[in-house]
Amino acid sequence: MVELSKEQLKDVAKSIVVGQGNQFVKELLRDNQIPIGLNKSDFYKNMMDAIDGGRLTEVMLVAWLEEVEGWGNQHIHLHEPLARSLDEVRQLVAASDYADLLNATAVTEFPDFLELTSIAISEAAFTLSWHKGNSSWTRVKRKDYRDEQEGDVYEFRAFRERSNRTVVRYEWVVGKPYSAVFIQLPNEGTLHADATNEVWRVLVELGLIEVPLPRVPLTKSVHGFRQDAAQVTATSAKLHAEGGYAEFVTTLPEGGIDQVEALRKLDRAVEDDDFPRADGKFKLSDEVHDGLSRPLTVEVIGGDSRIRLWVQCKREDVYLLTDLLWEHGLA
Amino acid sequence: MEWEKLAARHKPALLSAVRDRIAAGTSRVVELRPITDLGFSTSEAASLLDELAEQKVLERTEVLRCPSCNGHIAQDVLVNQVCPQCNHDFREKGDEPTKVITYLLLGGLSRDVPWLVAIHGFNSQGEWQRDFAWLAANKFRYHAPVLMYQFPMSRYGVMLRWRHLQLAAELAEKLVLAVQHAEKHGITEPPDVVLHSFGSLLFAALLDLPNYKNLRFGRVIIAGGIIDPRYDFDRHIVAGRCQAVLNHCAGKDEAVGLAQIMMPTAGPCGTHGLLSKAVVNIRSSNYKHGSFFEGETLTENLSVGGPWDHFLRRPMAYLADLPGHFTPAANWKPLSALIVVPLRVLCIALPLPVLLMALNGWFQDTKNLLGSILRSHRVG
Repeated sequence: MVELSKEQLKDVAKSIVVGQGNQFVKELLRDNQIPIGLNKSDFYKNMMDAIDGGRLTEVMLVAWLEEVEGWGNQHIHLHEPLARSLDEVRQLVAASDYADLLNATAVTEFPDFLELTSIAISEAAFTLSWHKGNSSWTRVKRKDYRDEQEGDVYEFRAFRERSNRTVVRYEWVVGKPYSAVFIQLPNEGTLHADATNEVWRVLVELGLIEVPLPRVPLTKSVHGFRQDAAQVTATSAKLHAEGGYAEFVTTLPEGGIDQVEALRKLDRAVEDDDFPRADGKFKLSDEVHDGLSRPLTVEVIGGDSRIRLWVQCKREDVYLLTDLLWEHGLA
Repeated sequence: MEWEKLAARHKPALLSAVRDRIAAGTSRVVELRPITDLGFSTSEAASLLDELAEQKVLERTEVLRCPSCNGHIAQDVLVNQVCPQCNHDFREKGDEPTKVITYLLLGGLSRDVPWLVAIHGFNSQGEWQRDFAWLAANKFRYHAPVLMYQFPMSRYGVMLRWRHLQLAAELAEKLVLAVQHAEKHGITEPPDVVLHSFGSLLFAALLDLPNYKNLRFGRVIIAGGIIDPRYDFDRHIVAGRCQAVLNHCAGKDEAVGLAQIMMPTAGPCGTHGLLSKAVVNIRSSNYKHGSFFEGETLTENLSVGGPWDHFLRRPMAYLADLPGHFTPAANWKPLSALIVVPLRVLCIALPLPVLLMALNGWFQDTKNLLGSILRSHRVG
């Protein structure tokens, strides 16, 4: 691990306060017995004081980032697992040009393009992580203005640039019947295709695959989730047939389509096999699922083998969800 | 909830419409629009809903909605500043979710008929079941399969208890298979049941069979029932064997009176009612024993708002909210054995002379025929 100066560590802390959800920043502070405060400016001040006082170290930040950064608030593409043992993976990585990335940390990396920043091989999992600095725009109306130029009135609408760090990760947990590409970039244009192509490029280069790993279809899982009101709250379902689709959505603030009689009847009438592709939006309660650290709001796009997690969460939460989807897809 | 107290402050028609909506339990959210569509103003409708919220019938809550698609934005998703329904980016657009007052129903919701079993009486091949099947298929369309249980035509067997138990066991076996079949097709809920006449007695016998305690049922409708009014349905409801029982009585049913004479363990629940506290008893004063399944009445019973539709779908709290609802007199006693036993013996013995007469006629005919054949041979 590269030793960071206190100033560098403060920069990392600043990026954490900006980029991570309040709940998770609070957990970082609470877990390390650092005063929390009420808002982001309090969090920032308390973190700076803790770094100056040596109560928040690089080791603590790295451990915490590995747990929450890039978990949740992301898209997950499920694919078939690698047909290799972890020993073979370890040997191939060690013999590759990427050997120096093995167990590297990338706390301060904000590359302009997607860049492979670390490779982790534990007893249970093989993980590749890419980082990318990302910017988006926040509308700031108070900075708008109008100007008259050459007889015409122009309106200038202001946006402030917002920067954060995104993670793309490929992970195969030994024993799981799937592997996953985790993407924190929006599903716009070719961003996801570019990210997954980068994953396959590296895996091919490492000699782990020859062609991209096939997708794990999730349509059966969507149907399974839709019908399991005891475990999952379905808030919408979009069922695709050749030449059309049917969609039913509840606008209830809580509860799912089973809480609306008309939608329930419609749902009962659905013959799953008539709809070869299905998408759905679901909620998983931490009161129903013991292992969850928080309730999850999830979208599953069956035909694309893609999951959209709408909240930031922990690694364990993500795998509880993907395992549950896998189980519901077996029926 | 004492709705009468609200009558002083709200229009009766508004009160009735909102009460019906809440009793129907068709959705967790109670929207103002369907009420104002009936001609009431938003303020008078909101005033009533606010009062119902104070009475804890509804919950009045502030909900965040997307200004673009009106979808609900949960607080935990709000940190993303993106609508999960339409991907509207609040930061990029410079707007915020709108706050909307929403009323949520705190009581139970309506239910669906998962699947249905119909069991007919003894003196029948289940003719009514054909009409019933057609109406039920039209009512539930694709979402509730209907099983029409046919047991063998039985006239003398109904007078013998061992035959009841035999038929009940056969019914139980068929239902075990039907439940397995339903589960295989994704229907895990127990079936609702419609029983007529002897079918009700068989069903009560089935509930008491020790080998079939795992069979569970949803809502049970008894029409023209011939179960002993003292039969304890409460214990089956408490044990989860049945969710609820509607006993639909007829005002002009003479058959159920005869049943207790002819059939062991039978009783006139189809006229007197069932005494179990959890059973909902209603009476249609113009009905006879077979009226329940005649075209017009059957349609009326199953149509939206009809008594059977109401009972099958409404939340538990509103099940007894039916016209003709009554509480049966608790002092019902069966007929004296001094009357029942001779009459039942007569019923069983009566067919014997008839049989002997028939046999005698056949014997005489055969004797005559043989005699004439022999005579013709002698002549020959």
